[in-house]
Amino acid sequence: MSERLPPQPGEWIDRSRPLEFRFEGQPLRGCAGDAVASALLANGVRVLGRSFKYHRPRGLVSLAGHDANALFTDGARTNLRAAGTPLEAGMELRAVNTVGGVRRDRLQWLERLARFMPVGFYYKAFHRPRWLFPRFERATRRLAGLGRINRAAAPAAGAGAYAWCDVLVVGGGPAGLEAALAAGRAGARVLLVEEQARLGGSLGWQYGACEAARAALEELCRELAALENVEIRCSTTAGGHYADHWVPLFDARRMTRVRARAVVYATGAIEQPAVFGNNDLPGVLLGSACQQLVRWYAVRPGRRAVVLAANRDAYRVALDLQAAGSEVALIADLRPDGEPSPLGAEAQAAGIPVLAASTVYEAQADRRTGCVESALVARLGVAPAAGSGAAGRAVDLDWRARIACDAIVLSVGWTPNAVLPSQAGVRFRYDEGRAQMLPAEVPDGVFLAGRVRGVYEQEAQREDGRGAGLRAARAAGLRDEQDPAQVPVDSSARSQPDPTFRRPGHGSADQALVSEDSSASHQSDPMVPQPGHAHPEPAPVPVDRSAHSGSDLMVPPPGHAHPEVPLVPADGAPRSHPYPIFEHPGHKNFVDLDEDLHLADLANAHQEGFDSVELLKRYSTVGMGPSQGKLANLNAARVVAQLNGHSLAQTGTTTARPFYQPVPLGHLAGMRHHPMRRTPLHEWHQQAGAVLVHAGDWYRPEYYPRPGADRGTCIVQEARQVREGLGMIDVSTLGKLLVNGPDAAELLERIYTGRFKKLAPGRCRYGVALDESGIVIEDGVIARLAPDRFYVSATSSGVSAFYREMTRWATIWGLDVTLSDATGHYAALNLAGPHSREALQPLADLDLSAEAFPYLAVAEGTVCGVPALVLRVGFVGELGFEVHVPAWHGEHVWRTLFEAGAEWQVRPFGLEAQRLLRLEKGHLIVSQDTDALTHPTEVGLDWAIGKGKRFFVGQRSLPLHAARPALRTLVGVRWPDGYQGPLPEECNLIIHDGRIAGRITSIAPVSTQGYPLAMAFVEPALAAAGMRVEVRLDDGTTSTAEVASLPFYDPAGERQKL
Amino acid sequence: MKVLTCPVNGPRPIDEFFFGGEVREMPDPAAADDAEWADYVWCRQGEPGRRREWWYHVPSSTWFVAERDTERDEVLRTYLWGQS
Repeated sequence: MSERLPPQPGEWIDRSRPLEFRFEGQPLRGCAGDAVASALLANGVRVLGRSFKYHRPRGLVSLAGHDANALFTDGARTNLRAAGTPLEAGMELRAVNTVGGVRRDRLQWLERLARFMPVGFYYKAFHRPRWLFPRFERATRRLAGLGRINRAAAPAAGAGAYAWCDVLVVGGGPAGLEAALAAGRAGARVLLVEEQARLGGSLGWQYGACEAARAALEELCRELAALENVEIRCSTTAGGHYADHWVPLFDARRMTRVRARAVVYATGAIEQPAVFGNNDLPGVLLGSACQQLVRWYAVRPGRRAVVLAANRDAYRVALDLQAAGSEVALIADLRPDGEPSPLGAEAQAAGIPVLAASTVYEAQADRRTGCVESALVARLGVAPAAGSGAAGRAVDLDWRARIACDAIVLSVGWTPNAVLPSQAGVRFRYDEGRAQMLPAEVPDGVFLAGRVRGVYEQEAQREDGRGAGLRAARAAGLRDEQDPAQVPVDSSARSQPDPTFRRPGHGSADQALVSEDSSASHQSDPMVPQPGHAHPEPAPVPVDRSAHSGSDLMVPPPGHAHPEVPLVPADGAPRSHPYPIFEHPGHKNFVDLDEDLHLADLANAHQEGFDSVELLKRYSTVGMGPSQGKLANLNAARVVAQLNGHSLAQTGTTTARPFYQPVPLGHLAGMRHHPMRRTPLHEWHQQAGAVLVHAGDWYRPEYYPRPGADRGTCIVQEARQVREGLGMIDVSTLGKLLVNGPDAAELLERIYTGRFKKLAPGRCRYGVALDESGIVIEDGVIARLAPDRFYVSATSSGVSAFYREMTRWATIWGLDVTLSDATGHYAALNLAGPHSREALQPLADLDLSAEAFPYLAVAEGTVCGVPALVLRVGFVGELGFEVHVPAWHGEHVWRTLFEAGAEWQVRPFGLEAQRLLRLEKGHLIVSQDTDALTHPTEVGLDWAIGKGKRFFVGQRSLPLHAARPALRTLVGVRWPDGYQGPLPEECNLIIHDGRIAGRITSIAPVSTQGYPLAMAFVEPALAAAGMRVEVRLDDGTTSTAEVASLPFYDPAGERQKL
Repeated sequence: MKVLTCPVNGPRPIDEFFFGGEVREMPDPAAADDAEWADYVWCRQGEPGRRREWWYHVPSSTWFVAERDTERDEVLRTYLWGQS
């Protein structure tokens, strides 16, 4: 049965493009432009989902995506919301929380167990016996399931994007459109986002019956489109508001993070449901949803409707329904006197029966379909219901009537869509007079416009939007275009005088609101803040624009009264009923549809002591479903307030957190990408077949595999070739710092423990640096190239932090020194082994003889025809040369040296062989063989500390360490020659007398020495060479090793001094 | 994400900065007794309020001081060391 209406003016659907789709196997047809919800309703499908806990049939309540009744899967994606998801051709839709489909959900029996599932039952039940709990948990999750993720489906989200703007306008209704236009005309770069597929907001759906409103909307869109500095994004949701106006936007494809200078929230208001018996039946829906169905999608919301009214909007809904061909059987108005505005009379003139002081007390279901078939309407008594405030009245059952209908339309009030503004720091306060929340404090750079601040009527909304847009542009630093003579005036016929051009004396946009509504304000104005407010705003402060030059029309000075605080009610009567809750004792009266919570649940939770909204939320889960309580939080707070006998202002609200709407996880996931650094020789290593490992930020060759040799064998072969012949290693990852300037030596003298002021140019020296507490943080080689030029190598992983701290000290001490981190600027290689001098000398223009270029010499010269720095260091304990060349020459130098080295069977060696060779020499690796508590004495570095130095960082703390008993010593540990048994891993513990007495810090299972060797921290009592230590292995067994003196290889250091 | 104003580079996203801790004055190591020195090395003022902090703009290697109200989470001003 088609519920599609004849073409409606301004409809969003394209009737020329029908789309075939299926719902639970049933073939259906919609149109391009349909949402899933509208397409289903157009086909007469009214049961769209099953509820979370009781598996009750549910239909559409809100078309703005504020309920989670209808969640679908299309096979690939899940938890698709009916209202927000565009219909696509060929969709195969299924509701997520059913077994066997929505019509005959095999889990509907669950509702019969309702009395065994009181609020919070899962906190109390199934906990004994404990082993059974996981089974119950799994079963419960299945029964109360949301969608299941299809892991095979390709992620839909693309890479995230970034954007910035002067003014971000959230919400494309009348206020938002005007705000964007005003800010755009002021020259601001504006981004306007609208979560619906098209702009317009209430101009389209609420006022869309009126031709003038449609024309106004078209005009606004045209004017916006003409501004090149205004970008419009529809079908885009602002997800949250983070510090300094950082707002994530979500569309179907991706997340875009926007930085704005100012944000206008024109997010509108969320229509709130009423609570009565069986108020969750399919067919009970919001008035705004009815109008949206008609205007946007040309779908009839029902054939015969009962409208539950508490404001004038309800009367517009009734008239719109009638115009769309629905019969309006009754307007039941909660107010004692019905609608005072001309709309009331208009409805009556249209023949719509109106019954004041009445309510829908119960929705009654058709047995077969489960949908609404009638409404039980009852009169409201004169007496206020207990605790519900003056306007909440008890139901008088002496007068009641059952009215057949297929739709019960709720239009009883609104709440500001405050989720994002609240995150931005806007504080909302409940206003008793208007029975709704209103903004009370607004932080800098955030502006509210339209219904979110209680401004309801079209013209007032637009005026409000213009003012907010201008103020936002001003806050974003844009000059105010106050002088019409200098501004190209848009000649398009705008009926409103543009406040931008308002002359002094005519008042600002803010004043305009006041003056237009002066009749309703002041004496009993609930909007005028009371004394004691944090930011009292006693009177509007007119901005006298004539007194300002362009440049100082910027952000108002601190303490300036903020114009966002509502000053006066912009229009007429309250739009919200203070207590639209009428408990039917024989039925469930739902407060939260997402979580299947009804009045009795809240009362029970309250009785159990959860009497504050925040506690009640956590215990009952009210407001914690997918729609985050957009339709539930206010009514829940009303119930709590009533149960406590408090006002809503005293009761407060829960905290609204990101995200505003559910977001696919794929949109939040980062790229599966971790940027890695490659040395200038990376391609050579790859061609050589190197196994590459992540070493900090770098890719480094771990070893170079050879056919027929396993990893360990290759590593030892590489190391042995260094000891006996010639090896080459890429050490480009070494940190390289240039320390230049008259105070360079002074800085290094203060940073390092050793003496560097006296280091002669052309020499280098090992240095150790400490932090202020005397802990070893860095080591490296400091080469003095000239009296005022140093080349400092630092550990690959530590260089960034070390450079940063050196920079800080240089800043604090005010030294005349220039520091630069040249790590990536130079390629570096180490040519090591007894033949290294022979190999390098023919290619270098330096005299590398032992006499001219002794151990720890450094020189600048030419190697392989390119400028190079050559250092003679004992890197791996052999004769060796470290060659640093500009990065872009690295590969040339490496290749040339490698070819020259062929005579000595040169082999490249990787990180593992390097570590083995250095371990054999007893060279520690800072942060591997040291930790965050290691002071120099523990690791045998006392020799590197300059005695009698005036100052170095950490010096003052060393005597304090020395005064404490020694706790551990870094020692060598070895196993017997040819040992083949099990070996520990790094960090395995050394056990002595049944207690932890140390740990392995580095280990080489095979070495060039013919036995496994390691370094370890041990208690000082165990540190003597020859002590036997027990190391506990991962499997719990122990391995016995022997403490050895360091180094294992060439203790006299003769090899490196050849 | 927050924005912090580097005195050299202007407002930049907080991702570009490294927090360097409270600004403290080193006592004269020669004159300070052990307790005084240990207090300098180990103790930090964590109480919410107006604090002077070291911040470092990583890409430009710029250390500067930020005066921050840690109670209101507000940066009051930023300036280079030696200026004020």
